[in-house]
Amino acid sequence: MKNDIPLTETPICMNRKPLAKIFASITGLVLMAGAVMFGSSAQAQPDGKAIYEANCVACHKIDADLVGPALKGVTERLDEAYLIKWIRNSQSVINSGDKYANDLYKKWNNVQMPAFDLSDDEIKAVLAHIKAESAAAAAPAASAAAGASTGTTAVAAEEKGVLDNKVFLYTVITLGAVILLLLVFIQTRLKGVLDSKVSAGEVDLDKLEDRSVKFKLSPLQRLGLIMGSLAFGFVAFYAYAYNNIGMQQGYAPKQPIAFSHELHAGQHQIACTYCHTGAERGKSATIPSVNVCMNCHNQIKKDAPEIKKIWSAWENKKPIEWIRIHNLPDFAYFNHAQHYKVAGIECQKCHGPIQEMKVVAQHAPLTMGWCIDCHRETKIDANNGYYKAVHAKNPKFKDGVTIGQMGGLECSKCHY
Amino acid sequence: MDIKKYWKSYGELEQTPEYLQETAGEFSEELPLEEVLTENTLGLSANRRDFLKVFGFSLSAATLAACTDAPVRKAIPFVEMPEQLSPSIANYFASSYFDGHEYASVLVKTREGRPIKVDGNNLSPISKGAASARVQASVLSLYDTQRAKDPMKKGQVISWDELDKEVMALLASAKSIRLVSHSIISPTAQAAITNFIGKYPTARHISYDTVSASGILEANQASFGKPLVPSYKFDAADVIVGINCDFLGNWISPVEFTKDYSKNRRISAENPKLSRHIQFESMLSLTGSNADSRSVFKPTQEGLVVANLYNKIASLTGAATVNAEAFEVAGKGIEAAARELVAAKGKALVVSGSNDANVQILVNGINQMLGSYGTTIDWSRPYLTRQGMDASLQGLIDEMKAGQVDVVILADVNPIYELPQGAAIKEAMAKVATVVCFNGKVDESAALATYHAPNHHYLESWGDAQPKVGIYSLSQPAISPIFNTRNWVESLVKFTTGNAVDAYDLLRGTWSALHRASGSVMGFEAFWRSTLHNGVLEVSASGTASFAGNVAAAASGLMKASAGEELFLYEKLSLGTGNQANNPWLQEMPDPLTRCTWDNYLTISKKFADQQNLKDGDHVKVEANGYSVEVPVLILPGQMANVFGLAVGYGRTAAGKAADGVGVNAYPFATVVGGKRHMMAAGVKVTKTGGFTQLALTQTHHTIEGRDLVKETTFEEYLKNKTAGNIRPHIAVRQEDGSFKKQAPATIKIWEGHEYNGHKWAMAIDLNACTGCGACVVACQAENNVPVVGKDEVIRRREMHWIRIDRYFSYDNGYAVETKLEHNEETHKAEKHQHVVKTGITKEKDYASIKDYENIDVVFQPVMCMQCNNAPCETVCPVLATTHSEEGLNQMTYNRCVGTRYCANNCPYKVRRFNWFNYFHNEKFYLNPSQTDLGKMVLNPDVTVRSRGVMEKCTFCVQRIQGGKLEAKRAGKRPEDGAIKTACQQTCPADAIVFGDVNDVNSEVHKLFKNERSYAMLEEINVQPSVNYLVKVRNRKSVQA
Repeated sequence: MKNDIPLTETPICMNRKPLAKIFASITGLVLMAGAVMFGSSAQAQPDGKAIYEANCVACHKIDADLVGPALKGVTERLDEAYLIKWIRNSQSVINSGDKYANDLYKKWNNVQMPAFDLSDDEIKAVLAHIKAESAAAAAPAASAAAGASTGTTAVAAEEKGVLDNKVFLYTVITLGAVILLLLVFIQTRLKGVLDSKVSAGEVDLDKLEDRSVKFKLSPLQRLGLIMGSLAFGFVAFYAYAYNNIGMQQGYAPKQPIAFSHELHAGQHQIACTYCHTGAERGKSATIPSVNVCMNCHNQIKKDAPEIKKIWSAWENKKPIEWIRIHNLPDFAYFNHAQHYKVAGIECQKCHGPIQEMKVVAQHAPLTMGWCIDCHRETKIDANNGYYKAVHAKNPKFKDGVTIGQMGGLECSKCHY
Repeated sequence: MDIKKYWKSYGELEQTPEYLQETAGEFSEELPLEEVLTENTLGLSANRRDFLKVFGFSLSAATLAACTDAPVRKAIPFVEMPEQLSPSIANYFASSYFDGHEYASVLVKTREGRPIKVDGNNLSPISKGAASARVQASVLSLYDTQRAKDPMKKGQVISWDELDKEVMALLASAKSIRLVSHSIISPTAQAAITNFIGKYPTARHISYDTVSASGILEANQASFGKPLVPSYKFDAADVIVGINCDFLGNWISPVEFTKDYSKNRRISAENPKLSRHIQFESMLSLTGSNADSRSVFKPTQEGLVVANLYNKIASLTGAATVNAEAFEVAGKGIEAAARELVAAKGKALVVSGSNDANVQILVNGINQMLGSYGTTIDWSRPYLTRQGMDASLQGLIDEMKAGQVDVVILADVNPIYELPQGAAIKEAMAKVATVVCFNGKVDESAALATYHAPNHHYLESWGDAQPKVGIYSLSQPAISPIFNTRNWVESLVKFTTGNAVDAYDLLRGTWSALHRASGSVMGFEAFWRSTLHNGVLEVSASGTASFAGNVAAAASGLMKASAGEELFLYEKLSLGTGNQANNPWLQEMPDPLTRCTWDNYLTISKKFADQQNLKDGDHVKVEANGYSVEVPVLILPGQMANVFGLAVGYGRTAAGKAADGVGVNAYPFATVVGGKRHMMAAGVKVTKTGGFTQLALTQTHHTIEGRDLVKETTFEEYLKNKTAGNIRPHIAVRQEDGSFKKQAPATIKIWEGHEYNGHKWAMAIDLNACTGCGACVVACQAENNVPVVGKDEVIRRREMHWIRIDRYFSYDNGYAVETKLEHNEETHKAEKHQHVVKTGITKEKDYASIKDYENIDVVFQPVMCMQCNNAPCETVCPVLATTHSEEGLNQMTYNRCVGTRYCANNCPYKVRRFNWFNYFHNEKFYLNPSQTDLGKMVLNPDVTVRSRGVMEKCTFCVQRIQGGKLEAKRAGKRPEDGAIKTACQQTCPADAIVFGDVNDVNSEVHKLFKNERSYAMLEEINVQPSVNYLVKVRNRKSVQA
């Protein structure tokens, strides 16, 4: 609420550059488009990939050991029936006294692979995916590079955006300098002409000066002018300052643990909702509790200095105090489930290329204008049964109708 | 047809100069600019002259702020996320509420591990999804900073170990131990008490009820051999007679009774059935105000009323009459009631709130004659919530006085405050060597305790309850204990066995026995989990009783009627017995009948006021039964000139900052005869003292100048014509030829209107079902973070409640037969003719002749933002802070509002509320619970906390609408009708409020909008409200010509 927060606590950030913003949003859009395309093409893959990413990637990689062994070529090493049994309940295979299984279990420090309640078909799809990935990993460069290419292009696009921005600025400065030089040159030439005319007696300088008297200001007028300019400056400054109050775009504080989304979401492709479980269900996407970190890190890189911080938190039962990056004001209601689950929006749409971020920065301005812009542009999911049932007779409800056209710009959608 | 006139106060009825002056201005007083400017929120002390300085400061502060970095905010997740708990997602836990007076099976809503709302459990056959104001407000009592925080010995904090050791040593050497509690309905607590007595054979358990039902228990012991209160089926009764029995307000199980009672009040064309309710009472109660017919008598005439009703019914049914002095109320009400009851034999019910066993035996006799047992009274599931026998309590007092008791254990009772013998108990307790107290607060009684072992709040503890035979429910903690407290059952078991136990284990012990008894086919774990989830368990129970009472003996033992002035003690809907007096929500909840907040007062009749020259707020000294207080008066219709009413529950001295010093304690006025407590006093002396207190009345606030707001009819008229009473206004429109034509208001438009193609949220309120209990007011306050403003601000008409329940009085709108002499045109002779004339008082001049201040009709009308389709507020807002949504909502955007208050001025329903102050920060409003860190925990995180200078109003619980729509979108279907409920609707014990999508033709609200009784308030101004009311139908017989 206004006045509710003492002014000194009002979050302020003055790093918004209007020009940069335009370029950033253009490049952002390019980026979004890329991300959406990438996302949708990923959805088109057979189930195996989705199941693999949801269940396996937390512990396995194709071509490297993680919590569990590398999976490359596993379908050749072991037959399918054995693998199905193993995936469904590895402990029963171990208990059956199977030598290979027991050796493997011992080799991996008796870390038990959890049982997965998957159907035969689902496991087969996963195995097919592993097989395909193994082949891809074996083939030098080709497809692996292609897989990551969308991301790198996006980064390049953004860097290019910044570059364009700089080029534009330099061009403007250069142009300005040229014009200035030109003006100085013209003035010198004109003064030369005038001097020659005066010396030639063609012009009476006194008369000219008389005319210039008109432009002379009284002290009062001068004071007025100064005060006026000052007032204008103040107003302009405050207009700018108030327009920027509460803006934290680009805010990238140092976190207590140097957690890298680039490593987890990017390289290891752990699904966002593996950790941010609330995004599917509620208002808050939730920051994972330490036990979620420990799912993997009770094995992985136990001795790394950053991981030791997790262990310390875990053992001392002392929560990790992350620095909050995205701060919406209390009078604005935002619900992750509505956007992620119902509207099916990619996390990156608002959070930016999170899978590239070693340190998370606030990507979007989180201003009302930014929210509204998206509501104006984004089309509703016309296939949702809710809209079909409630808006069947609504003349506005037709293909391509945007959220804004369906009332998504109304105050009470976010403010109550 | 004349329209009946309604009025809110005597001032309005008589148009007194004071009233006219009070209502003349648009605002009750000058704007509080001075106060606003000196408000201490910026940490500066400023006055108006400093305004510019402050202004300058804010400008420079903004400059400074604009240059600093953002403050660092933390996001701290759990180390280990508890199962099923996720931030921002609410969890619900079934639990049980019992404060020794009122029982409720509840659903506790928690967010991030803190309880924020308590609602009724719809699986419970008692609560049926509804909850009273007090039960809902109990969530705020959890966060009361003045709860007991540590175990103590004589006011000094000690450790639990020390306390246990010392108390156990004292118990071991005690010669006589007494454990005092309210009725124990918890099987686990009962088992603990039994074991305690087993260990210490000198111990005895005495239970009492604050408002005693001992009379009923004794009468039923004598009549049926069962000292219990049977179940009453108000839904099975066609004719209900209540005698000083506030069964819709406070008697035994009011929410359950209201649910049943209202079933036969929600009349419709498909089900044109309406119960008939006759009330005899000493002062206007909530129940009486809902009755179809109502008569008054003096409190000591109770026996006469019942005995005469008995005799009239007996002579009609041919049974033997009893010896009783003949007595009749005005209008031959008793005889009429007897006739109607006999005519409805088998579907009739008579209830009395008397604590006189003789009266209750006669009532049992009446019900026996009417064939009520087995039809409207059910002995298979009697209540266990009233078990206290007055005689045993008196025995304890005598024992203590004689110094025969070594140790008294007070298990969550406050006898010094809540009993008329309080002073005697205080004296007697001084002779008891050790007093151990389990109370949750250092209250009047706990302050005298040697050892104080504070109990948890019920939301922190494990427990169980058996409110009725065979109906069980569990309590589970919804939050970890906030203070260093301990479940009193754990304390008692510790004293018994010396071992620390967990109430959870005790509970599972009790319930494993119950599991075996219930014959459940599930294993115990499954049974336990499902019961814990549902909160309730019903096991079959049966039982009948045959009447064997001696009515003749009872009639001869009746209390004699007194001649002088009498006092009637009653419980308010808000505070009840006063155990939650320190709850600001309840203190600020307007009393349904007097519309008064933050006080108790002596209700007097208009006649007495005129005699003694008293006006509202004048102080009087009240003396009776050797006790006296000085208290302001309040004029209330519906009581005799020599009868006064005074509410209990006030005048606390050690309850906390919200309760202490508010009102006077009325308990000591109660008459105690042989230990039996009667909530009345005879021989009362009332004298004017000259003092004056401004009462914080909301009754004349937001007044609407006698416009046609409530509509009513009689059942007879309704049967003839379903639209009876629903008179629709017309506008006379001048035509081109100069003539006038009647047109429906909706046809005359100055607005373009809106189209609602998707949802159209709407609400229907049945005036015939609404009992005015006020549960919705507290529900709304809890749901929408409505601030508490305190008495001073209420006097300035700045209460913030988003929903108010308007109460209108009117005079009977019945009919009478009049004989007139008329000229016969043919014979030219004067002849006698009988005419049916309406006696309804409709015209100003008729009021002058009225001297009847006893017979009054009452209508309750809940009013909240009507979400008008043509909203006048929207058109005047200069900053578009209030706008219209495509779903018919009138949206209020706080962060856009600049506080011009134009919208409030332009609102025809006066439902907008302005934040004059920063109630959540300004120390002046220290009673607002959200001023403390603990009190803030009760806030609903889905609703913005409003700041100073912004307008607010009912939003139709838009957060619930949005939440419901999200669920529907996730499921990919239309939200089911009833899936989205407003807070007021959800809690309404009478199901009077129905909310839904009127565009959904299958919805309940759509059907109700089509109902013949449905009307829009102030239809003539064509603002097209989204709230419709249903005409009230009184089941009143008109006289046949």
